[in-house]
Amino acid sequence: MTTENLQDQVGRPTEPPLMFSMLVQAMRQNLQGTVSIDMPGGETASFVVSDGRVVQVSHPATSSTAILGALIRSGIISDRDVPAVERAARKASIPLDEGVVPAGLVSKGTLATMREALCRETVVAMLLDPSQKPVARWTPVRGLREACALPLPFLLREAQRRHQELPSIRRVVSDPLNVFGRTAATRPDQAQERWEDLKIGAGERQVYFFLDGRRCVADIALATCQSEYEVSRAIASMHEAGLVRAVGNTDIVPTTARASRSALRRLVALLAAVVFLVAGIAWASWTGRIAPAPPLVGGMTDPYRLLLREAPEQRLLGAMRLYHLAFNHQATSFQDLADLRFVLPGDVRAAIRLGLNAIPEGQEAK
Amino acid sequence: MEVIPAPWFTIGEQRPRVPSRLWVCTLIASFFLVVCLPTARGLASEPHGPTSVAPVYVYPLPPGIAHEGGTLLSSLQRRDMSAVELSLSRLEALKNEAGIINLGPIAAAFRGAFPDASANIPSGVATRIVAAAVRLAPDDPEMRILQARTEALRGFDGIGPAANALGEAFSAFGRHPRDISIHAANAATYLLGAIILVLLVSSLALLTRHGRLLAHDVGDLFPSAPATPFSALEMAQSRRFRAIVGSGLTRILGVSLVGLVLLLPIVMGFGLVPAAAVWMVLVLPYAGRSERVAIAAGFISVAILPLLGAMVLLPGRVASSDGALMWSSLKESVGDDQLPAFAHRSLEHPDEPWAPVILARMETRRAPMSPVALEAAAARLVPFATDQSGVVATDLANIRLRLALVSCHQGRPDTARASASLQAFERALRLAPGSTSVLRGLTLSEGLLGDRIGMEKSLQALVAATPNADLDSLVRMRALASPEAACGSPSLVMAELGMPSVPDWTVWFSDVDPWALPPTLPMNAWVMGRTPVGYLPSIGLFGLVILVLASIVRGLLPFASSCSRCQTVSCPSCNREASGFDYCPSCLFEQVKPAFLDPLDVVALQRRREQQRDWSRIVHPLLCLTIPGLGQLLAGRPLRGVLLLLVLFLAVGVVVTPHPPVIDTMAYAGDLGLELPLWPPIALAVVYLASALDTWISRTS
Repeated sequence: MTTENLQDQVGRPTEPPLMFSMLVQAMRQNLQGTVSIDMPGGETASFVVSDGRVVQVSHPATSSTAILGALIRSGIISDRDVPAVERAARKASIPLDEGVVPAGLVSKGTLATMREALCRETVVAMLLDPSQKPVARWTPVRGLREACALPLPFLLREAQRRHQELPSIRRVVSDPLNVFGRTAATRPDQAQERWEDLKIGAGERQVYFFLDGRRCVADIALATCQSEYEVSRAIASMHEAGLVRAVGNTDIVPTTARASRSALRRLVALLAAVVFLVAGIAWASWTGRIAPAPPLVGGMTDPYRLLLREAPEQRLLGAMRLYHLAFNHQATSFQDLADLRFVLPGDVRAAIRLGLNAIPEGQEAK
Repeated sequence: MEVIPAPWFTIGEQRPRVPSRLWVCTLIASFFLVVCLPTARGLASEPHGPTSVAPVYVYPLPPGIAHEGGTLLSSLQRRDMSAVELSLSRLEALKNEAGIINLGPIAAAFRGAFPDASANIPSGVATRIVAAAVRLAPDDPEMRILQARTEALRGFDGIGPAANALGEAFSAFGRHPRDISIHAANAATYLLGAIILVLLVSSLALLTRHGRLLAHDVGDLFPSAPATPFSALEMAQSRRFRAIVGSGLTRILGVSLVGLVLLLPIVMGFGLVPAAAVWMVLVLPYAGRSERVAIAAGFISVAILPLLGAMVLLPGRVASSDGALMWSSLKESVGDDQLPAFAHRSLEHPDEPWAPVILARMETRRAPMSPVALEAAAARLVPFATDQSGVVATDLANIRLRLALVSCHQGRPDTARASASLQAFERALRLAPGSTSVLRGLTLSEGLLGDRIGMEKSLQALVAATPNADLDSLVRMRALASPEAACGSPSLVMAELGMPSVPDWTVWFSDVDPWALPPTLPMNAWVMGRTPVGYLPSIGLFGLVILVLASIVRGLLPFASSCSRCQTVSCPSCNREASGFDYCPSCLFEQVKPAFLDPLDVVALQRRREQQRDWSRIVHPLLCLTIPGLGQLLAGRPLRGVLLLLVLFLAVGVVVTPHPPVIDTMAYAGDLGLELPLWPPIALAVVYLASALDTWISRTS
């Protein structure tokens, strides 16, 4: 139901519409059957009541094409996806709207939720329209495929509530293109507003979340999957509490355009930064202003490597002094020192460098 | 007059005083030594093949002492402990006679051979022998440690003496700069490598842990960060090909940019350690409290790296300096071949007393009974008699006493010389109050003059100054402290003279600045790049200042953070941009998400989060078990991680290089076992066990 429909109903006599009375009767007497309405242009709308629930709605607003249109309008699928949906529906021999599931575009749950929401809004709109001339045929319908499950008490109560609330809502939200923003956003202490401190209900919180001074009521209805009426009611309630304010809609940029411009700007800026850095490094390396690989310090000049390299020589030096102290003569071969565990087997190279015979005396002949 | 044992140096005529032309020759010889010898050494060290004649490597010890040292070692090899004890007592007497404070080389050789030799001897004998060996080198801390170990092996009774010996060892470290600098260099070698590795690994781990936050903030520097898709329309748009390609490209560019920024320090030649410091600064805003402590430790490590490097190279720098030579000559023994160097030194540094002291001691040793030599030695010392350390005054007083002893005639010393000796000791006592060397000399001097009362008073002062005094020595002194006894056996009196202790560190570092930073670090090209090593303390300090500032302004600046519930990365400004509230946008959206929103989107989001958590749940424990410490760092337990990594790298370093690279060639102990040291495998086992336990304990977090 749109706000235009709501506007039309304001000021009408308080006697309930005929459709409303029929459903009250069906609920009280647990009737089952079909309610048909002639629509302008020769078309007929109908809905099926079974076990106290509306289980199927046949109306241009709930047709496959309409559901597909709603999916497109809500941005879940795009026009370019429609051929794929048609192919999938044809292949699976299912209605067009259900083709979005095998096409991999929308899940079953999303489709069912959206269909039920559309059916609910359609039935409530018909309930509130006193100009309708419905015809009821209370005979059970066999072999029916249930498309939705809308309890009659809920529908009736919802219709009643909307009928009562409509005048006050209209005073705040006069048009679905009205744009609202948070009052806190204009206050200098808006940074202090805390989500946890908001004293509003769950539905209003959902609407409040999407209120950013750029989305219109229709956008928010699509974003939240609430009806425009529910969004308008939440906005009116929050307006009364001073949480939201109306914003002029003259300079509002569509969300899509804004998002793509923003992404493009970011992409270009990042690209420029990366190119600048790479080019700067390349240029500096090319011209020799920076040296990524500084000249390596060789093993002969690195004092730490030299320390490790000279450790065997130092050991040998100490060992030879110790040997001389112990035996009062110089060690003649490396083996003399190794046998006494004064040196390590790996020190043999250092022994050769120092001119010490590295081969045991007995093995020289071999 | 008693027969004097043959001195170990050249017996000959009294050395003439250095004529003026000689020091020119000395200068030329020094030039040759400084310029030509290194070249010759370099050529000799070229691996062209063995040289035909190997040089003779000997300790600069008097021949008598060296010979007795050999006897001691062969006795140890034979495990003949009575011979060992005899050798030790002879060595002590020879040492005192030669005026040597420490027989470092013999003590080191004893230290290397004793553990095997003492395997089956009674603990009482071992303790007695080690105590005698300690007297050979009282300033050698490792001998004290050997004493502590031997005492501890006695069992319960040995605990007290072992503790005392350990205390003595610690105090001896302060008197033995060579030993402590070698130990410090070896420890610093392992620590330096381990700290550099820990720095690199921990900074990379912190970068990995906080990389997403850093990337977010870098991205915020650019216009219009992509908004979180909230409505179905925005979500549908985000699933379109162009949006996917665009966001993928943006992500790749963002990651490339962050990568370039992080690599920039290395590319610019900063080196890995300064780059690690930069990385730590970059992750500072995102670090938790314990991570900030770890980062502070990292900055301190960066600052002390040059000091560790200097510590590693210090023994090598000092070993080739005159300071080390002077210290060894004063505290241990000196070779004849080193005398020209000291002569040269005394000419180059006319205000420094140490080279003249060494030369005077050498002259005294060379001709202890020659009045001419003693007068010459005294003349060397007179210009420095007012030296505040009291060493010169004590040495001078000792020479004066020797002069008095050699002036004995018919059992009475020359009164004038004996009085001069007494006055010299009194001057020395004013400069070095309580010095045992001075008190010993004073006692003997007063005894020589026949002043019994003064001698007794000095002896009491000596006993008071040395509670653990050798009673035998005191008895000997009392027996010798009379004019007749002293003149009858002057060499015995001279053996009782004490050698004053020199200011070890001043002498050791007389030519080398211990705080001079090294020009490089190990693998300098990688570790430091083109950054001078001297900048590291400033870098560390700067990092600490940044750390303090970051801790102060942390709450004021809108840095990115990770939502504790859903791990979504966002910052306050992005949060407000997305929803108007400083609240995680994903969590907020969870609370208000429209009913018809594709459940697959929600499920996919949850699955992605769970996959991420699963990844870290598997990878972190695996890393903890493979590289202890790394998993802890990534999981946000940085202190444990850093500690485990440090112990791991230290243990691996010891396994790779089990024998310390810095070796004391002037006091070599030998006894190199081929087996690995025991503690690295134990440390490795402990580290892996601790890491596994930590993983088990922290599995739920």
